[in-house]
Amino acid sequence: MIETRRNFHESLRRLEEQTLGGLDLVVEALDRAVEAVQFQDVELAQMVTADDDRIDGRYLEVHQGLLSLLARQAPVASDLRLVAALLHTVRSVERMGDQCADISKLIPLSGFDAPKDKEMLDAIARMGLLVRAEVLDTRSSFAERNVDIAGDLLRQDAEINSLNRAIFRRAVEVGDNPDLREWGMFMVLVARALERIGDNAIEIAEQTVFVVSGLFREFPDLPNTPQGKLGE
Amino acid sequence: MSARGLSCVAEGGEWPSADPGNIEVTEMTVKPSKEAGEIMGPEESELKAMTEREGAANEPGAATTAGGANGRVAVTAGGHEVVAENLNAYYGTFQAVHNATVRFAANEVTAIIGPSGCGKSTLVRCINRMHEEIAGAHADGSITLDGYDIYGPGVDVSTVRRVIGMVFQKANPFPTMSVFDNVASGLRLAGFRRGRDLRDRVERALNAVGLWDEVKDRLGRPGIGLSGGQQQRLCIARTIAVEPEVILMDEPCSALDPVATLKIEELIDELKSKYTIVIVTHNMQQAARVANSTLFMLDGELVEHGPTTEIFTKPKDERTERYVTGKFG
Repeated sequence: MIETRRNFHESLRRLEEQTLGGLDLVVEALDRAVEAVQFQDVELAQMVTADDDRIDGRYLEVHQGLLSLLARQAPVASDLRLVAALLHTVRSVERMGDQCADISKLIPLSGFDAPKDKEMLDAIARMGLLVRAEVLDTRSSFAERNVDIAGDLLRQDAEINSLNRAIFRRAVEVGDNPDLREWGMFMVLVARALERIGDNAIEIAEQTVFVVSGLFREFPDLPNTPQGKLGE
Repeated sequence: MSARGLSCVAEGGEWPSADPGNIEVTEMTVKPSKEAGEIMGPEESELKAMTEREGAANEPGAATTAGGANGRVAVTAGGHEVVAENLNAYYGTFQAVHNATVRFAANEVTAIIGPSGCGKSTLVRCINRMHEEIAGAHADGSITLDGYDIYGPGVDVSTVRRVIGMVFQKANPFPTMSVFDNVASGLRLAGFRRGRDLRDRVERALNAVGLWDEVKDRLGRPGIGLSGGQQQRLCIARTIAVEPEVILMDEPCSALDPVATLKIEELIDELKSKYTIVIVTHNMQQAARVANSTLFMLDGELVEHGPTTEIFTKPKDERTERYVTGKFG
């Protein structure tokens, strides 16, 4: 057998690496953003916001590379599916980066000495860990073309959505202190951003299924998936 | 195989004149099924007419009395389906096509792709019986056009080739003929000697391939004076002038520049409303652009045949996947 499109496939492989490498950048930004929330660290939050340019740059780089491949190499079959999936995936990566930046931008607004609610902070921390695991799992799922991992993400996402709703309820019930209520509203927005990152991870997993099977189905429609998102 | 139709011979007569000016008199040789002078419409079927003449054709001397090109009767408009079943093609002892069974759907473009030597041109050449022209070459199995066996006993080969026209890799206008005569040649062989009808048919064919406006002022000049793309369209005009049912194309754009190629591809898209088209191409993007369905061949075998979109996005067979993605060649 003779590999006749070696350069093309090498270029495609590099673009996939760059795309999935974008998820590593997201995990880094996510860790910092959640830490900044936990410790009200404004400087760390500003770093996350500034570093979002790296993720945006990665998006532009991969997007341009994929357009170039489409124009010059006319990929077909599994190559075409991969290119299409990478276009979706890198867009999701860019949105995840934006969500991390959005979380970071909330931290200075919530005040340096605002009163805090431990239950909500713990829930945010738990959400951060779950979303982090979800991003890493969707990365592995894509890289390994593992549909089983992709399917398991739904279970994780269900817990994330449940926590998101719990944080909202807690914010409603948190008490009469106006500063605490204001801080609680910011935490609702943080939880919403984390929940969106989880959704983006699910979308990438759906692309994994597309690359493998050629079929696009939203995960809640897949057989043997017990439930959809709880937060909707 | 049943002997059906196709035994009638077009008594075309003399080789066409190089002078396009003799267009005054229409001379019909045989009119077995319609009233004298009635002109066949584009929706009429040579094959059906020949089938209806089958009884007469079996009589002694019938071929010469019933076989005129004008001996056509109207049939319902519609496409024409070619089916190959258990087709094997050989060059001497070498088998180039193995047990091929495939349906070329009516009014669709089917592209045949595959590496060099996979048998795709051989398969196409079997469809209009050109394969057997090669010394030592032969085929067995069945190929039918709308159910009529083109390899049936008594079937006239030249009629098969008029009903199933072919366009070749290299444009091959008759070098000593004018533009007009190149298109008219097949018609003259089919019995249209001269007259307005002949001229109308030539004009209609040239219009159909988008060439009329480009050549209408130089119909009497040599066909080989046209550009490569124009020559290929001229050859397509020559093919469709005799109103075939099926058009076979063997790498029709491989010698053309991109603009000429796109013109041919546009033309193919337009022609499929009237004809069943089978195109052999090495250019997979061309197959993706023009074909409704695509057939992948490898080592003489039909590996996969399916909707073009499916073949180029999610082929079922691993060998197809590897070929179209360039993982072997």
